[in-house]
Amino acid sequence: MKLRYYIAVRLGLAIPTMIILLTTVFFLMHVLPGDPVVIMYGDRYPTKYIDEIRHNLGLDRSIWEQYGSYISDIAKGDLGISFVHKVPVVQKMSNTYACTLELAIVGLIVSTLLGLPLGIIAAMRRDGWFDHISRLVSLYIHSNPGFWVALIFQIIFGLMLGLFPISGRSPPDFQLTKVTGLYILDSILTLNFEAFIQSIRYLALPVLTIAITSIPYLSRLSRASMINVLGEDYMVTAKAKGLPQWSITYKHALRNALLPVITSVGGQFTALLGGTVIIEKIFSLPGLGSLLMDSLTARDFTMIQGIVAIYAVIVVVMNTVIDIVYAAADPRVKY
Amino acid sequence: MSYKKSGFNFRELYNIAPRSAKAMFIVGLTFSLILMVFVVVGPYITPQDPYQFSENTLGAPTSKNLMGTDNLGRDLLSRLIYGARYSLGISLVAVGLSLVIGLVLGSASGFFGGNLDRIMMLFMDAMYIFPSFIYMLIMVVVLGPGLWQTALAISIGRIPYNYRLIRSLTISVKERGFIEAERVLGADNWYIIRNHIMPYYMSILFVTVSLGMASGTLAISGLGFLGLGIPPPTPEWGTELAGGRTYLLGGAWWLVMFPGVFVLIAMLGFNLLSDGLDIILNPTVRRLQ
Repeated sequence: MKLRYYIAVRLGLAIPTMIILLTTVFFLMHVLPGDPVVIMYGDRYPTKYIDEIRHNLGLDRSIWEQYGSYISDIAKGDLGISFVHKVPVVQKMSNTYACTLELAIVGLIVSTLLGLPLGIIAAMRRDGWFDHISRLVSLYIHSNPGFWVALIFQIIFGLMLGLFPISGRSPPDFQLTKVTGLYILDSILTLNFEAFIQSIRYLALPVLTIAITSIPYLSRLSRASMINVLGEDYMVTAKAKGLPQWSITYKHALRNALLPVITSVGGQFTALLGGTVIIEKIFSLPGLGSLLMDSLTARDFTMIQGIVAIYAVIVVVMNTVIDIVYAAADPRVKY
Repeated sequence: MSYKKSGFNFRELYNIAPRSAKAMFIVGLTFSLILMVFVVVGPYITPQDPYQFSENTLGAPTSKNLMGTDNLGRDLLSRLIYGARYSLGISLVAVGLSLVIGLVLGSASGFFGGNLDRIMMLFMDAMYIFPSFIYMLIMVVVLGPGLWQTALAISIGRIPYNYRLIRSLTISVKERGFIEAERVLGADNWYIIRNHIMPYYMSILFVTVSLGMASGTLAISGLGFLGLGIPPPTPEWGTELAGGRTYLLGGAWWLVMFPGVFVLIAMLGFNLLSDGLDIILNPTVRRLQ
């Protein structure tokens, strides 16, 4: 099969995945205790009035009817109206999703750029001092809970050294033309150097926290993958052919060692996205995680469903992209 | 090739393991066992009553209160030892629950195959790529606060992982040539299960349980930190840390420091244990380690 078809199949598979995730959260929300109408308007109103609102919102229909209209609304891009904020969920989220996306993607890039070389070097100098030390250090770092690391960073880099801001996404007098909502990307696109520096400064500690918790995993994985490749027969062949060492290392070994790492990046992204909820809370970032926490406390059903839908879109897109990259990078992959 | 009486001989595997793996295993086991002692007898060995208020509020660590006192004058060390019961106990229940569910679903899916397998795989894959921590947050709110509810919520986050592991194990055991060969040699089912399938499962299950304890402890303290875990005054480590954060700017560093150290020691213990076990129990993996 050609790569084109593989991509089509992979995109087709993304749809049932989305539906499963949305269905799960829909039914979960309907076991939640608490009447959404009472949450929205309080219990001061007479029953007749409450019933009327319930009817207007379609909450008096059977759960299956509600489910049907929920799925068809989502297909049209309509996530409903927030019970608490009384504005469309999409509008409320349009300001927050970019914050989480930026945090997660920059976090993933930084941890991959640091974790990968560390693992490769450890594998090249296997059982040397670098290998041993990096293994111990990464095991130790891996055991630190992310929220604790974040607090320590806030104290050391924020309060004691005053290097980076410890909360928020931008300074109060921040000026930036909105293009995508991702501050770093926007400031590059609009050539706004001042905003570029500021958005990086504000992102530094949250991203560092994410990187600290992800690097051990990625470096360990790339080390194992590299060692595996170094033991393959074609490495002996390359050496026997008299190829120079750099060509053996970078062309033959590294390229093959990267393949398993590509697949695991998807899983790492998922884990990292879950971690952003706590990180957003600690650094007071106005992202999806903070919105989710508020909506969970307020029992804002439509909002929670909408946030899960966005998270689902993010992970499904990311995983589909990674699968396609993997298929394109490895000609041996069976479609 | 000679056949041993039992297929799962830990002492033999341990003896041939490299020194570093033995060290990791011993250190990890020690940490984990000490913490498990806290879980079982914690309430009886705390130096002071973990719920007893005193005049000494926000007291710095002294010889009387080794880890200081909190805003109500309660002894932090006693609270953290007592809290092991919650942080680790819930994690243990969650690991057990997710393992049983994963075992049942995974082995059924892998053994029977067909449409059942395809549908379950699609469902579990969908859950697998979704951040499990967000599932846990929603589940905790749906199920309400409580020990069992939290344990259930955390186990649900881990089911997809266990399911996939058990499924692939079942399929690979089913397809292994040596099982067919043993059958030809006249071995009965029980002999095959005891000597081939069990060791194969066991070596991976021990590591999974240990890793699960680490991630479970992290999840509970994370939920507690967000205020969705075990509510105060129960001294769960994450809840304690979140509570202590309020007094951090006032200089009460010990209220954040020591709960974090307890989580760190637990994580370090379980991670060392699982890494050590992984190398000891799977000699073939050693090529990678």
